[in-house]
Amino acid sequence: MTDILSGFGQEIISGIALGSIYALIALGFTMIFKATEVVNFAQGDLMMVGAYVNFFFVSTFLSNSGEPSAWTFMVALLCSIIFSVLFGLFLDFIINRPLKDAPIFSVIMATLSLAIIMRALVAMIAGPISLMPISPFGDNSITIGIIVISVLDLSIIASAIILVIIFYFIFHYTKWGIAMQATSEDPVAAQLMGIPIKKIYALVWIFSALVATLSGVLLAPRIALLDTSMGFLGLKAFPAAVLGGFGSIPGAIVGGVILGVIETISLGTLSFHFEWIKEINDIIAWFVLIAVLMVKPNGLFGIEKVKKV
Amino acid sequence: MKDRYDHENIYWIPILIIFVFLLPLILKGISFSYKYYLFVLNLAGIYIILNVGLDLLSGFTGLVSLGHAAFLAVGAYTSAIMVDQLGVPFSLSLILSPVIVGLFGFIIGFPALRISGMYLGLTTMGFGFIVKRIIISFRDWTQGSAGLEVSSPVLFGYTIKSDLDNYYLIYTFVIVAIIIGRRIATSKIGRSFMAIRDSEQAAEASGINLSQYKMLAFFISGLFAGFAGVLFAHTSSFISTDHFDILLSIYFIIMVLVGGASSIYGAVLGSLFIVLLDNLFVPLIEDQIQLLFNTQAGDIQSLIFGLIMFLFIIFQPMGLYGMWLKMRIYWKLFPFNPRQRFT
Amino acid sequence: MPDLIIDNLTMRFSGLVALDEVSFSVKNNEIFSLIGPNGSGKTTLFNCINGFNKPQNGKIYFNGDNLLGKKAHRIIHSGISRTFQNVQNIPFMTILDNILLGANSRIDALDTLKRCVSRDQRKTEESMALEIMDFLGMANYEQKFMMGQPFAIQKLAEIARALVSKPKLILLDEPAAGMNDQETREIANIIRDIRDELGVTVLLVEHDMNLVMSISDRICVLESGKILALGKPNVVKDDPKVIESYLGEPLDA
Repeated sequence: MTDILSGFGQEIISGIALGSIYALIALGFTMIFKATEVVNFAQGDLMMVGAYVNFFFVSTFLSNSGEPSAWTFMVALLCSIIFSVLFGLFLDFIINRPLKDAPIFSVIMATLSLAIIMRALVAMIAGPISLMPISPFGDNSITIGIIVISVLDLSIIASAIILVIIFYFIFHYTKWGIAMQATSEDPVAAQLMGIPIKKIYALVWIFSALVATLSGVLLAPRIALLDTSMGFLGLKAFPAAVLGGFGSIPGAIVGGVILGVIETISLGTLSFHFEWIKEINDIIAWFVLIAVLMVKPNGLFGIEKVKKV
Repeated sequence: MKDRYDHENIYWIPILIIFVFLLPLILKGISFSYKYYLFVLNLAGIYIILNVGLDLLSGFTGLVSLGHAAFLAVGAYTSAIMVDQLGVPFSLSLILSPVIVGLFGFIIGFPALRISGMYLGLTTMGFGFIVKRIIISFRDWTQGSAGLEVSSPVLFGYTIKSDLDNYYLIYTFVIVAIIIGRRIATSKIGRSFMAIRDSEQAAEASGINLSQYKMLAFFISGLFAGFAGVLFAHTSSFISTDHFDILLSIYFIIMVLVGGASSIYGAVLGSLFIVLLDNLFVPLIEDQIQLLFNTQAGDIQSLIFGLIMFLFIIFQPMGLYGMWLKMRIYWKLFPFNPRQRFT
Repeated sequence: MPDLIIDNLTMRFSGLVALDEVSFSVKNNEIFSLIGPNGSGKTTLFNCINGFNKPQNGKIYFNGDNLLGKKAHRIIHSGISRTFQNVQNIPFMTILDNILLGANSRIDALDTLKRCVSRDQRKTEESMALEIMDFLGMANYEQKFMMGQPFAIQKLAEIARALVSKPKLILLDEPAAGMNDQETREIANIIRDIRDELGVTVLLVEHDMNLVMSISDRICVLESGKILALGKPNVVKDDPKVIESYLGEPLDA
């Protein structure tokens, strides 16, 4: 009995860790969607680029100093953050500005094609081999009661919580955050109130590139092998975002965590007890998505928009 | 006097059909690797049939499908299993399989009654993954992810084997598909589809049953995809789930968009353009780039692909067909460079 | 014999009462106008007749048919078509095709199949639309795309779309909104022609008082979901309650 319980507990913790990553990716495109109504299919690949860039910085510093230390990771992270800010600005410039008035269908396709381009470029520059990112926490794990938790998972959960709190404060208590909220509510009214919405849009893209990079940095050591297929993980964050109701930031976080837990449990305990679950392990997210959308077409926390005749 | 209704210029259509049927002979005359060209054209033909259906669904009705490779897969596997394992003749499978895929479209389309916009795109994408998984799990019939050998089509006692035979088989259906697609697009159904896309209220007030027509869109799209699937399975003689990747679904949408959404000719042009580019143009420059950067071939291909797509959306949102229309107006009114396009 | 009977109609949107026990009837071949300030429930009434809104209480009869049980897309088969306050056209279709959209109820599945085989069917369909376009005087617009057309043409096309289904009753939601004097006069003539030449009953919502007063047979004034006055134009015009509602409180000491 304790075996099952401890296994279950571990699965839930590692599910929450995986879910936090989904939540962070979902947070990234929920922000863009809220502000600009653009669905960014390239979010997963942004994450992949972030992971690669961080790996590049870490390995450059390591080859210079030799010995990995906390500073190496900190400085590499800082460099990645700077890179992601510039990258977000660049994305705003090439996607958001030219496609301001384009139909949503075209914008989706533009982000999809951007995802394809990024994946190809990274593969060309980094070469076809998978990389092995180094975790700053090693393989350590701690035991609480009957549950064994890896430090890596804990660090992911902790960083995700800290990030969400930071974003919450930025959104609700800074001038720019409030301006961002106003813009996503009603861009025209925001513009009339003197909010520079072009700058706000750029800021939104920067933020989402930033979140993507951070989630990439967190996720890379967990999946052990880093290659361009990491971008596909971003697709899985879509069910997460939809689950919570697209456009709702708390919804994205809750949806991500729920999905992560469901996935890990089905991969572990459920697959162990039911043979057929194994078959649908990697598509369980999509099953959940379709089931939820059939019952609640706007997601769990979504708000229905009423159209006037 | 010219009839008031005759605005559609149809005299060039027979000429084009004759050209399509003479093309293999011309290719044979001028090139040694004409078999490869035929193979590429066959692929393009299959994609044209599918994209005409996809255009009716996504371009006209505005129900974005990011899982159309699943339709193709269901068509291909249905026909392969029916012909090879149940002993159904190919000609019967050619009718039955599309209908089965059309009914399958009902299942995928069912959420569309409640879900719209990008949510629907995601749902169809999800169905794409699910279908792939289900095909793999029916190991007894589909041999899982190992793939399935498929027999060559037999029509009226004649086995269609060579690339040339396949070409004529496929392009007969391509022509039929384009004509029927055009007819649907300009009939009551096509108008209703566009009305659903642009104004559901106007559509309902005009007596259009929204759910019925959305389902119809999925059914028709499924029919076209089913035809494409049958032809794909039997002319390529081997199918596996790797052929029907999520990326293929995205490529289909790209083809429709590059050609120009909501025009049947656009879907045709887009499919031809992308497939020819992918298989003829990219290999030409690939070698050069590979020498420079020492990279994998697939990466360069998708890079070029993505770039073209991206530039099209930014600079030519009306697609190839829109470009052609603009050019035509430009030449008609040549000295007075026209600024207006739609007035 | 009244054509359209609205009986005791009540419509609430989560607490807000949009229509409060409204009852009136429209006679056959009449131009009947609904006026009233914004938010008085005129468009809601249209939406109830049209099947977009489901009222909580009351009945709507048209030629003896109960309309309330019907789905929105079935209403046009009962002989009622409508236009919209903010025009609902399909920008990427030609004006001809836009108008043909309204003829959907006249084209059945068999005709559609025929269209897949022959080109003649398309001609038959087009002649339906061209007939109405000639009637409205917009014949040379047939092949132009709806996108980028002047507002007046778009409004006219919408009326044509409503007429091509050969309705017995047409609901016009602010046909003259956003038009200049010249165009408004043309609209007035068109509405008269619709009644006189096509024999269609007209139910009109409009803010332009001159237009309403000059063409209506009867006028109904709504305010916050209630009927304030109902009668001939000159009677309604002099009704003290209407004057008060439109001009505010009378200035007596």
